[in-house]
Amino acid sequence: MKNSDHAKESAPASADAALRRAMQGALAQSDSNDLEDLQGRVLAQWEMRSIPALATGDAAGGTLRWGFTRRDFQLLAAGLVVLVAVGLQVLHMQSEAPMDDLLEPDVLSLMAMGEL
Amino acid sequence: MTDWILWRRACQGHKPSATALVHSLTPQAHGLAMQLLRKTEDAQDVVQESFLRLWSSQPTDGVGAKLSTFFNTIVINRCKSHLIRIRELSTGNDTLIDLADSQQQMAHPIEDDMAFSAAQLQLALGTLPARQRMALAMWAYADAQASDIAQALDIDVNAVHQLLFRAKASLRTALQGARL
Repeated sequence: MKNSDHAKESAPASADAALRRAMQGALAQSDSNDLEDLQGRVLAQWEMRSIPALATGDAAGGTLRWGFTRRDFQLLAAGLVVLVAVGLQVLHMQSEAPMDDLLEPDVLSLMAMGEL
Repeated sequence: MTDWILWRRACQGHKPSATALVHSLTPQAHGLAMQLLRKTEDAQDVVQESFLRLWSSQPTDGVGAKLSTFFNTIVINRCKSHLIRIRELSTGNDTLIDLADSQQQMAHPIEDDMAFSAAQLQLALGTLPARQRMALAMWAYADAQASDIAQALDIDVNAVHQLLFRAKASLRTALQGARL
């Protein structure tokens, strides 16, 4: 008696399991034709989402666009600062008047001395 | 390499992983969306939205679920939102909807040798009301329990059991018709 009850209950359960397996099997065989455009759009969305995230750099020393690392950019910036400082120093030195010019008597002094 | 590793690499910007994942998940996701929405344009929109969710999600892979099952859940949720938006699916204890579901033709005797193609399944599911399609998809593809379906459709657990019973019976009937 118990066995027959059990058999009655398990029959729908096994039928349900068979239906679920059949549904999963059929879905797994879904046609992949004509999906290239859709896959292309999905990948384009992935790139739009991923590239900006990578460009901001999520980790120190991480690889950024075109293969540069964050450290590369830091070294480049430091080099530029040093270069600009040296350039300004050179310009400043060039703009200073030579000592001989400073020692030349100016016009008022010459007039005072009666030479003009 | 498991799908979860591919997913993690794709989220870190690894294009080959993203490409492999998109190629492996798209056919099934599109098939599932077609079963629920029945229109190609809507199904494609839902697949795109679902991938956006996938890239930004934070799943706990400790639960042992497969990535494909997790992705199916995302697709089903997006389909549900779409069906509600176009008013084909309403949630809640709606007596008229229950009546409409119960008036579906009851099943013929169960066949044990279930075998059908994706096209036949899509055709058969297309004859079912949206709530039955949703319940069946969650049951078959997302490993959802009755309580999960109850929460998703905003009905009580007993109603889910009745809904699933009617849905399976209706699907079997429709499949028998599709195979004739």
